[in-house]
Amino acid sequence: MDVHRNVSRPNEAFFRRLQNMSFELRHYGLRFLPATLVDAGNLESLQRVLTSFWFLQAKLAEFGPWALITDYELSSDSDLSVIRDALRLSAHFLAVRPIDLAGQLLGRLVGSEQATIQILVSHAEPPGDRPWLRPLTRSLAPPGQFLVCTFAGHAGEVNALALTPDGKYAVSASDDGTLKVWDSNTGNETVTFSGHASKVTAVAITPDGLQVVSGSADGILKLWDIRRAEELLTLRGHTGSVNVVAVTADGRRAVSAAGTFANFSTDPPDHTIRVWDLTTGAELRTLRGHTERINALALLPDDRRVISAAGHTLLKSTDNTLRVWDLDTGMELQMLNGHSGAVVAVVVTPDGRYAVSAGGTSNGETIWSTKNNVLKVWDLGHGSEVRTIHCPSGPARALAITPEGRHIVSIGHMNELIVWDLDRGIALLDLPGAGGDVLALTPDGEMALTSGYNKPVEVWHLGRRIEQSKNLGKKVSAQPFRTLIGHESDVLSVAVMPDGRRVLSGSFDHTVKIWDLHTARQIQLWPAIPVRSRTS
Amino acid sequence: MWDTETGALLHTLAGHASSVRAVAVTPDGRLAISGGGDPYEESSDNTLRIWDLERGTELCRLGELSCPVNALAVTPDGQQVVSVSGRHDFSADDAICVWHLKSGIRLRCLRCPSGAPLTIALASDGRRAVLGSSDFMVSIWDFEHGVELCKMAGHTMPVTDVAIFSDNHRAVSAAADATLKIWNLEKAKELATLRSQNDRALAITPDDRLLISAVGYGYGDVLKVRSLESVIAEESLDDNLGASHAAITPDGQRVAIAYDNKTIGIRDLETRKSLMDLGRYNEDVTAMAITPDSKHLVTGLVNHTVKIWSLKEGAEEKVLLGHRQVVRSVAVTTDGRRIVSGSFDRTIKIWDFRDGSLLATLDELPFKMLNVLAVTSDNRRLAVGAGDVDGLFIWDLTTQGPWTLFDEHNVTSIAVLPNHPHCVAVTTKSSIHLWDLEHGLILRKLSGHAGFPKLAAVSMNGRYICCIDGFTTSQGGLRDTTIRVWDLTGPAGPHIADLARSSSPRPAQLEPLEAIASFSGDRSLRSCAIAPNGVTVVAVGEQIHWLQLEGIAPAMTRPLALRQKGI
Repeated sequence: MDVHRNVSRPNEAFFRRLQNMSFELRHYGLRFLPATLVDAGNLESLQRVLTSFWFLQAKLAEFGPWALITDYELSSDSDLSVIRDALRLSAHFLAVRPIDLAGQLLGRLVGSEQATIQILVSHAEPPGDRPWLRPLTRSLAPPGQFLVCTFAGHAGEVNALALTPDGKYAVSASDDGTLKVWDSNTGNETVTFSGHASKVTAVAITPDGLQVVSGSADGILKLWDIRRAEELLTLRGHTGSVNVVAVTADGRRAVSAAGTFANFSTDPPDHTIRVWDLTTGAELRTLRGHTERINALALLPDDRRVISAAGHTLLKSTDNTLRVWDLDTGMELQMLNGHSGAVVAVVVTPDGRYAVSAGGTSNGETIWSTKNNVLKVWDLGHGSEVRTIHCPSGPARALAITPEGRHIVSIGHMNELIVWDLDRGIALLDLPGAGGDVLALTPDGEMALTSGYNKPVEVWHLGRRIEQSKNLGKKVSAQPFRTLIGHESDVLSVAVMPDGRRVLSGSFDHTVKIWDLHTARQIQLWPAIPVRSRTS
Repeated sequence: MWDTETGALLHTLAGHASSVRAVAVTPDGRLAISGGGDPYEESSDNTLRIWDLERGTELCRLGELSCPVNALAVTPDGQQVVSVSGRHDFSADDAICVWHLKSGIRLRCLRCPSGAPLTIALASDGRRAVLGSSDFMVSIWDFEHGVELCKMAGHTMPVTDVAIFSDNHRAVSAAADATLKIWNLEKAKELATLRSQNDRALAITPDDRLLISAVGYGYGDVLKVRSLESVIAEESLDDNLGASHAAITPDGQRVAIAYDNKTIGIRDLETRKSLMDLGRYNEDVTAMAITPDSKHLVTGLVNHTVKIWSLKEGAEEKVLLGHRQVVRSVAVTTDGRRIVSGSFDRTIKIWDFRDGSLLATLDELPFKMLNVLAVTSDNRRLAVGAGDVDGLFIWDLTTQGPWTLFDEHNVTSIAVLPNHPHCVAVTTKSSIHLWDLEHGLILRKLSGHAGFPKLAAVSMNGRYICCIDGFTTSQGGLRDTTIRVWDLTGPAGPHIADLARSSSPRPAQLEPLEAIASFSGDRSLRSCAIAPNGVTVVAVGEQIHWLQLEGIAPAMTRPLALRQKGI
């Protein structure tokens, strides 16, 4: 296989040989050459093959970018990993136009100092003397920054994201009516689930990581199998758009809630929660009682109860309650009344004793009204309100609870992230500037990810700051730990991998991006971004 | 004093009566010099002391200064030490003192004319010193003669630290205004500004590739490492800035780029170096055009004005006032005598280029939201595309004739074909059309774009047309990230001129012309320009791409004149 040894221009000669091979031989060579070299312990040749532009181009054309990226996993060489990361960043372009390889590689790697990369870059040219646009500067995002790869493929905005528990696959739900399953390591699109007739608005994955439940704007839910890439069940019953879907911890039941902001049809609006049997597809219960849109659902840790939060955030809202339901009997166990306006979010402590809810705007009042700018803590044992916490800076838009269940994180309209002590109801940390309406915490609760209207995803350190905060509740001016710039439009959902390192974001711009919060090459953690240059 | 290998504490050098804020070590590592003094105390111990690092004892006291010592630096030969002292509000006689280490003699003292010096860095050749002071200035000193050579302004807060590159040509400064600035010491000018958080202390690695800075005061107490490579390679200086418009001068020498930070940068097309900045702190640019003589730049601005800039002096030359709304598009006639501007105030105004006077106003327009306008290369027709009405609107400039309507699609951009007097390239939401306005027919459609072509530009020789459009995957896609190039005269496609002349077959029924090359960026593009040589393409958006068209076949060798006669 050492076809390119002792030749003056090894890359080109190798490619010529490859081109003249029979289809089977070339196919075999391109597919197994790197693995064969590893088996033979010939790492020097592996390095040469993986820095040969012609190998890259031929393999890309034949097998696509992800097979090529996998070849680089065979080596631990740091220069090769730079090339791999560059390929990863371009994978979504290269999957469609493999001929763009030269432009993509140059745009990310030209001017690199590593000798192996220089060799690769110097040979980068599209095959067959065709015209092309050669990038003269490194004007594409270079590898080693936070962005790892982009999932492109949806024809509509990405509404929701879910990760399998092992973090291996990500599922995205889009306005284009499809769900896509991505290999979150390589960015390879493994399955597309098309079958919904309308926008897919909600998605959840079963705890075993094998099945996906999706909810659509036309009220239909579907159950899909990831491994077999097929539709298993269609769950019919809702007459309004599905807002939220959740799967119980035993993976046997799904709970969904419907409701639209504006119902233009003559049908009565659907304000129900439905419980589904995921083995048979039967609707087990319909939980009726709410008379407004259901904004949030949270399953209790006992797996037998669910808490729902309702209210219309824009118009006069008549039902601003939280209700606790028994999934087995379908009974309404508790009605938690106390908010004077819509309840936009609810979270339950890990021990299931308390629920925390966030009030949105008040009845028909403007967003500047302060009446309903509260968080309420509820005792789920007695069904009583424990505490009302006033948010001085405006209504909260999203809530999260730290893993140990002691702190609540809220973000709101007025660009503020506040960490609250659940027991005392006081603000421990107040970060102005960290706002928006999308919030997620890393599994260890150390960091918060936020995004919102016209904002990139920002990552904030919480853990250490909470412990250090001596001036309780005082505004601490802080910079985000990471600012993940790259989306063309607003981010609608974020998800954190189980390793707490990698982050996914789904956006209005039709893409999902994967970010690495601890990129290996520390040098580029703080890229030197010139504000401007001056010569005159 | 610590052991860097084991981390063990070796000596504690005690003796100063107040805080020590400056320490320097001689190059041989045998002596340390410390400067004392607390700026917040009236009577503090402002002494300089020399310590023997081997024995950990105080060797001598150099003397008492009138102000706290802010910084110390040892000359490269290890013979002298420079002390910098001063309070923020007080300028003392002994602000900068040079001491002889062996004898302890004060060699000379300099008074800083204004502001207290806060920090100093010595060049490795011992000839220059760079000083940062509380009056926001970075000053260059001739260290041998003790003279200030010049002051460099730029920071807006006191300068906390400076460091000199090993080539002694450049320096970097950190200031309390949350910026780091890189200076060219030869030309005494600012090269670049970097955002910082609250970086205080600076160091540069000996290979000049990394900048290490210490961040303090509640910003994380960390050390940051920045790569200086991209900063030093001046060509990439402005390429991380977003930009909305690009225009290349007809002589192919320079490119004007309207950055999102409201400046217009003029850059050399070949070296990509920044030549000058126009209109800092200006309004957002909505349109750009360059006069045929390459000497002036015309911009349409959000603040309702049209501005003419001299590219020679880099200065604003004229402001054309009259529009009552955002100026949406500008064009210059090929004779360079008139400027046409269209605005959201529903008027099109024609201006005299030389004296800036208003020649005519077209106000009865068949549309409300003007999007783009262009004047054909024979200066006879004005072509307009609007946001609210579909179609290509044509106004005859010679006859002041009525508005005529071509094309049934919404026009998003218009580019003039320089060597075809009646022709324009028009992008609509579905395709790019080459229109012959004289005969009122589409000569050719361009294909290969993914839909939604956004903006087209034609090279000055009329051979190439480049266009920004979406990048579509099989089912979905990203928008506006791809730039494509078509060859209008290459062997792949027949001459437009031939098409215009012959009546059969109907040109519009011809196969659409395919793009010859493309490039996809990570982020959306907003404007592109192609140089007269037809080889260099500049595409701007969230990033600035400098592209070179390679691997092209030679053009059809028909004389240009013949083709023009043909039409």
